[in-house]
Amino acid sequence: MPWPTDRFPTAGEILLRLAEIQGDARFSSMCSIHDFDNPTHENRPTKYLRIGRLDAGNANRNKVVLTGGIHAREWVPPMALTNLAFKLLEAKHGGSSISIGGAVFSATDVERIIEHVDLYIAPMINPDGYEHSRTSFRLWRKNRKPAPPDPTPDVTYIAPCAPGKDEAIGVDINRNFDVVWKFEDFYIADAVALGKVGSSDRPCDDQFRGIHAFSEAESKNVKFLLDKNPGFYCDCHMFGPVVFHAWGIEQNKKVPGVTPALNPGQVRDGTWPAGTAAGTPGFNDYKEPIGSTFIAEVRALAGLMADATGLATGRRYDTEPGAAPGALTGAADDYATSKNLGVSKPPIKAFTLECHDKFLVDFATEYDGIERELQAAVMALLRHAAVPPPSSGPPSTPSGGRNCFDCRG
Amino acid sequence: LKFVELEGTLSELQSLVGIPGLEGPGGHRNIGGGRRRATGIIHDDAAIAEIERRGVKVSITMDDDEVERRIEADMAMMRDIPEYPDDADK
Repeated sequence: MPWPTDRFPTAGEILLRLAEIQGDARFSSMCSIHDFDNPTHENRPTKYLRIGRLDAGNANRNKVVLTGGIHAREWVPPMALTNLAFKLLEAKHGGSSISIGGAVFSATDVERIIEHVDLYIAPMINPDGYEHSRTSFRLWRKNRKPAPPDPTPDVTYIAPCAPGKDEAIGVDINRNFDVVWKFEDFYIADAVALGKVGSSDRPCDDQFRGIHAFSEAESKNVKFLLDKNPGFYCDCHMFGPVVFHAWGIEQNKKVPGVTPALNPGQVRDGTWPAGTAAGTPGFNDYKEPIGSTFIAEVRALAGLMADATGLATGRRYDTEPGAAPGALTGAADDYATSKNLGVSKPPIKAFTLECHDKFLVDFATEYDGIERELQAAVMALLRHAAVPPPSSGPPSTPSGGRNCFDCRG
Repeated sequence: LKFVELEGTLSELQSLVGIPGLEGPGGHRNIGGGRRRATGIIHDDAAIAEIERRGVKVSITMDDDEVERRIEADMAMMRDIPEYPDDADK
């Protein structure tokens, strides 16, 4: 199949390309292709690649999950992630390094990634929305499932769409995850009323959260990968440019005017109150469940990814907690961060990579640079994941290339 | 629709969340002096006056005409390309 190099691919071409990569005899021992269980509303299949030493078992291997295409109109990540899968496998087969601008990942780095990382790449999570954006309405963001009418016995919207006026189609997949999904139970009522929570109960809004957490096939499919308990997760989007890290629901502290003050004497010490489950309504019952060491590691790793974008094109992305611009709820990265807290599994270090400063891209003049930034950031993450860091201190950069801590101003 | 950069203090930028006609602000960049620069999308020009009223500087990085041109270019680029190559024969 001819893979386009002068335009964006279709959703179907991405699926075919994933199959083509897996079917390449050079890569067959280190790549498999899988269908997600949940077809989309328009009955499109969704697939992911698993890359690594497939026969190696799980010992001493870090799982990493990469997703793209959650938001339909953000066309770069699906193509760039698909190209990265090929680039990584081809480099491993040829024993060569990967140079992305000035970001160099040595042959040893590539070897270690294949040997020590169990990599899951799902570049096109929302093909229905992507195809709608590609063929009908370029600015479309959500999936394409119509919202149930309001009211029903099970569904009551805070702010229903205007009858006959608005199109109540689609859910923002990145507001449909089970982390503070029901924002009205967690945030100050005035903030909810003023739309300061980055999510919406209004089906015609671009950020409609859905009728319940994980109501959508697309979010269920991402959850399936996150339930493999990866050490690292990166969800690739547009636009920033920024590497977001935990949290989006708040900034490890009160967001003025949005989150309530804590009860006197309360310390966010990494636990939920005894006897309550994550998601229990009542923000004042909620203690920040990530510790300072974990946050420091996540921040440092976001910095490595940002450094890599700077080496790739000269534009170093910023790093911020997801809530820095404003709180948002129900996002994939926060769900990943939250899902193993309070249980005996290691927490997931999760990121949202927001590429470029716009999502409308001139393919001929801008695509290559944005792809380089995305791929360099993700390769920095993979290189880190390939050699688990010591139990304390900042993440290390193994052989080859520059240690990006040395690159800072 | 237009893409913009928004410049102000963190609290000024955070105060913009929820303004009708503004999508964002998105990622922040610390530009020193206690000020930050963020990205956003203006869906309704009335939002610009409200943003400026709150002390935040608005710079347009892609105006309506360029947005329209890029949308048209994207749609032209993808026009008549079937979702699957085999569909072209149908």
